[in-house]
Amino acid sequence: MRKRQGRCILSGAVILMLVLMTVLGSGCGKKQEEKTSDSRTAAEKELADEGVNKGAEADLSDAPKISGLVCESKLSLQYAEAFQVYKYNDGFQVIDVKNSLSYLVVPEGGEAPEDLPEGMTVLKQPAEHIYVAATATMAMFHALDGLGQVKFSALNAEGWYVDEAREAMEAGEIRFAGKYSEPDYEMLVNEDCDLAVESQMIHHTPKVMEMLQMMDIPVFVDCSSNEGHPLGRVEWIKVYGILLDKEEEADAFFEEQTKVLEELEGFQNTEQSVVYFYINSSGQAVVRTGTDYIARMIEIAGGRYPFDSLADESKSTVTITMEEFYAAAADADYMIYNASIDNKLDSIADLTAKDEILKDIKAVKEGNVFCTDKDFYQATDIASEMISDIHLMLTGGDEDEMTFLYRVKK
Amino acid sequence: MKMWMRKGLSGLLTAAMLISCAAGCGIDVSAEEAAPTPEIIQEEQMPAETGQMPAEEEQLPGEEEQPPAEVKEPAEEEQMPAEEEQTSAEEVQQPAEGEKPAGEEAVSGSSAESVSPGTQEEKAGPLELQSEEPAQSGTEQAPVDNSTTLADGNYVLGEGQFSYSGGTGKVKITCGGVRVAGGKAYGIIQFSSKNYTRIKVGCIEYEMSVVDGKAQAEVPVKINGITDISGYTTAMSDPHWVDYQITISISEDTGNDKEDNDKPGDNKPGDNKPGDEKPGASMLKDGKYSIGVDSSAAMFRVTDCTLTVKSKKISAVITLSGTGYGYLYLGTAVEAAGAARSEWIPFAADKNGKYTYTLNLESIDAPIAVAAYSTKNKVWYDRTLTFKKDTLISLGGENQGSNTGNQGGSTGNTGSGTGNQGGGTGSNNSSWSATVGGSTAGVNSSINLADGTYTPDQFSFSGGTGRVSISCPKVVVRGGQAYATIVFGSGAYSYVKADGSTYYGVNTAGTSTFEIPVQLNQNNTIIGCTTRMSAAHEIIYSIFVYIEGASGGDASEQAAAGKLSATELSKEAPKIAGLTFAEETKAEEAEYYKIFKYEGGITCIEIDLGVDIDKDLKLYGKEILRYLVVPYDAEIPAGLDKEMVVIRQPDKESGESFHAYVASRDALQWMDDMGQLENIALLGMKEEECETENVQKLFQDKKITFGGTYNNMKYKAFVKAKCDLAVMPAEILPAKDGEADLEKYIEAAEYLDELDIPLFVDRSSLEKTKKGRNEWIKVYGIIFGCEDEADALCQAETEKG
Repeated sequence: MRKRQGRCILSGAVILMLVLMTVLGSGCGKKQEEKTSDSRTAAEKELADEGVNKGAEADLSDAPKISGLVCESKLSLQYAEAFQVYKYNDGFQVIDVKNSLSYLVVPEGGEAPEDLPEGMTVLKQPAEHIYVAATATMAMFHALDGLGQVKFSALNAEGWYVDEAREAMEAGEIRFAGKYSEPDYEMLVNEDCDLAVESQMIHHTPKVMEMLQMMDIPVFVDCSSNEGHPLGRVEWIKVYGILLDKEEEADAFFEEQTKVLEELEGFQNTEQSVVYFYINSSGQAVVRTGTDYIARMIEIAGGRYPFDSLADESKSTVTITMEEFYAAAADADYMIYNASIDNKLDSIADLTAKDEILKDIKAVKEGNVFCTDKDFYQATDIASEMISDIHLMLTGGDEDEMTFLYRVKK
Repeated sequence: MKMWMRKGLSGLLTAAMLISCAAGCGIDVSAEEAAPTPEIIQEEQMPAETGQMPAEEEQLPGEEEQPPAEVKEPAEEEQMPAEEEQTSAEEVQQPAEGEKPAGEEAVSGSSAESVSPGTQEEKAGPLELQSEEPAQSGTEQAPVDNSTTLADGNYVLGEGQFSYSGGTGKVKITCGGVRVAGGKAYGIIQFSSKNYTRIKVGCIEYEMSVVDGKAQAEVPVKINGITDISGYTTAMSDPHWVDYQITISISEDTGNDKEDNDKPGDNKPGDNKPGDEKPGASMLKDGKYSIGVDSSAAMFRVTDCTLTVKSKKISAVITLSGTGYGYLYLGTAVEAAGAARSEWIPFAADKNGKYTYTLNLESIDAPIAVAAYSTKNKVWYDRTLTFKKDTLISLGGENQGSNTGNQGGSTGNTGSGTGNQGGGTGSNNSSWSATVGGSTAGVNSSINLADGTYTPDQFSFSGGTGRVSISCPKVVVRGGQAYATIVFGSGAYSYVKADGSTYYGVNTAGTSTFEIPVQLNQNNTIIGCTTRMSAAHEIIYSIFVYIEGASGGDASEQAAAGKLSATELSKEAPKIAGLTFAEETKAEEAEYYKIFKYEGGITCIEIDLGVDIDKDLKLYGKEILRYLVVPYDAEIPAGLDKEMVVIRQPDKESGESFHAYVASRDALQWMDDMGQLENIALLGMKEEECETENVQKLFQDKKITFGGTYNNMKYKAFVKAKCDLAVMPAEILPAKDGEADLEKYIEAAEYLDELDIPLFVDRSSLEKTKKGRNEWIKVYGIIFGCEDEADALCQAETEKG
């Protein structure tokens, strides 16, 4: 039945257990019989509850109807909410991206049915001449050992922090094909590009997207940044696994990444506050909203985020004045400076030079200022390491073990 | 195994929670709150994608100063990395360290190793001029040896210092400057045709960037020897390499040894022990130089410095960043305090109120004790200045013209120096120092205008991403030299390279302002450095500052472009800054076109679409379409392509032709009659619809293909055929009466614009008279460069009656 979901060998056992639980279970969902669930952090429980809703019951009623194909199952997702994968017979799949496009994935050797629902894009497995114009996805292709299937990039070699991508470009294996808003159509057409992976920025240049489609190049828009849960973002690797025809590798990789959550199960929140921000060129502070994935990472790692109340589902960051920033962050125990847009900090003096008021923040006074490396935003595959980093920071762990953070020296 | 169990466990867990939840609390397990809509771009996808895009800032002619910084929203600033990060082929990317020469990327599979094969030579003898390798055709196996004993710095080539041979002789090669870093020489090699996409020097290929219709790249070059290069041209259907030999001659007058400066502390000023190899005055030839100066104290910063060397005496005029020091003294603080007042060096305030001082030096490159007197504290402080030899740039040479208005060497002047400039070529508002990195050529900023401040009649530019606006609110002429104030619409530009030097300016939250020497009424290449990201980022621009009547004093030159009508054909030739009108080819009966010819083989063709169009379609959104037909190697003022559709003709003599899409039957027929069918790559009609034998043969020979009808174009075929011009029939426009349903036209304009293919509308069929219709043949004669054939055909057709 679910042949592709290799791991659901337990399906029978699950059903049995379900029955048992129904009999035994009682009370509110937050009180769990299982020892593992008890020890999760409250935030984690809340998030897992949401993740629970997927996969366990196979409600296929929302699967797109495609003539000639029958939907057999849905991909079970743990944290991702912005996409869904429906599995049909004979290896056909539909990737449905919320508020974006739907894609019919045609297995190698297969043929797409004639009559497709309107607006459905056909993607043939495996994609082997990919144009990557969504920088967040390169790390995922790399994690899947799929860089060999990437042939074009919207960044020059120097723009990549993903070493292997940069090296592949320097070796000429991946070529610069124009930035996302000005692709080199000639190169893409002449060299048989079979998939363009774009970020949501492409919606600002709709003509480009239309033109690519007119070149018979399907466009996949990466919406992983819409995920509020950090592991939800990482779970998008399953989508890329499908495109590359490397689904098992994707599943395995994802499992590895969720380990950090398991390691943190049962950890009591330190109640220390961590502020994550940068200062823009106008001298204002840009902080994450309370619903943003970084704010969630902080919670998962065992800290508190002072700007929790700035909840805005539609935005990931908010710009506020330094006064407002100080009002909320004055007592922050830790500070993480976001160096992806601004320059990295070499010393705390670099930081306080941006605004005197920073000197009065607790974290600065106590020297607990950290800074992100520039490669964090491209390292989407191991983004969950940031959770470990923050955890190490909060618990005074070995800073050499940090992947993306470093302590800013005085 | 474990994973298996973990999966099972989590499956159980989820099941349990689900059931308990649902059973217990009746929590709604269905889908929850909506995920953010795709329109809101989240900032995480950095550095390439960030939040909202800033509004497009089109630089229109005559647009003056930027609005004050408050107007700009902070969110806009964040966009810079997105755009400037993703450099296109036009942008030069320089690491901040400046160690790596530009253009060092190995494009093809050849190794990416550094160009310099050997170690740096430090012999005192003359440079080894000849290469051991025989002059081969670009198939050398080794990287070129570009070591030189010239001093590090930027060199501007004057007449006779650059020559080349090879190729067909149709393409001009120029050298935009030579940079020596670490004993290695790099030249900016420019091809007059933009079709050269790569250049090979030695065995390493470099990508070329297109600036103003020219392809250029900075590559290692031999000094005083022949460098074999190859250019890869994509001009014809069969791209190939063409070999050339270039020769750059620079005499070594700045000394033939590289000093090592690793013992600064040991040297005292005025220490000229024999055997010391300090670069003293004897090493420097007479002339003026710019030089970078390091200081021992942060508050004692030298923002610029000019050296004048005459008869072995060095006179340095330095400008300090601050105004706290009333005097300087060449020596220690103790010595200064004990010295006679007449020996103290007073400041001279320049036009901006910055303090300048004239120091007589014995030598450069070794740290010099210079004491500084604090006016406020009334006390002398010890300071050290190091005049860095490796930042020397010669300011002499024909290109510079006379640097008048500069300080003389006389010392001891009391500080009443009004109008005393702080070094450099008299530029007051931008402090500058000579730095190595991407380089710009020297400009001839001398101008025949009277000294004073002018407002340019027109300013336009090209280059960059198009997201940052640039304006030029004023031009100041000082001592016969023109300096333009350039304002970037972003506060992140840290310096501008122009005229072979680097200029610093003034930054606000939303603007960066620089004053640089410019050649008026000509294109100037400048490099702006933005510090949006942690790595400084250089971007090449071409700017065009136009003041009527300036330069060359050619009175017949036209003034800046006046208002071009959007609804009527011009009655008089459009005034295009930088182009000189020659004559109008008047139509006798045709009413829907106008032809204005300018010098240099450039023609402006205006087409009246006859339908009211008022859409935001870049250059196609008005009733009057304007085209500029330009010979393949002609230079046009930067930014003109924002005003008119530029149709750049192929290099016919080299055998190049257009790859046009033709959907107008009339045009097709005429082209056939004029023998110009080779210019067509795609047709808007199928083979079976074409009656002419010639055309059918082309289909059979696969020289042309069907590109879709004009209202259903197959853009993929356009891209494959390298289409560079689309000739559309008048049917693409709706009839004049009735509602103007311009859908088809708009769609075509948008898509062709996206592909950078000029869209030309043939309105001949709507001319009222037959003669009027036939006169359109002349239009095609101009576009396809066959005016004689066109005249003849037009004549013949008319005679047919």
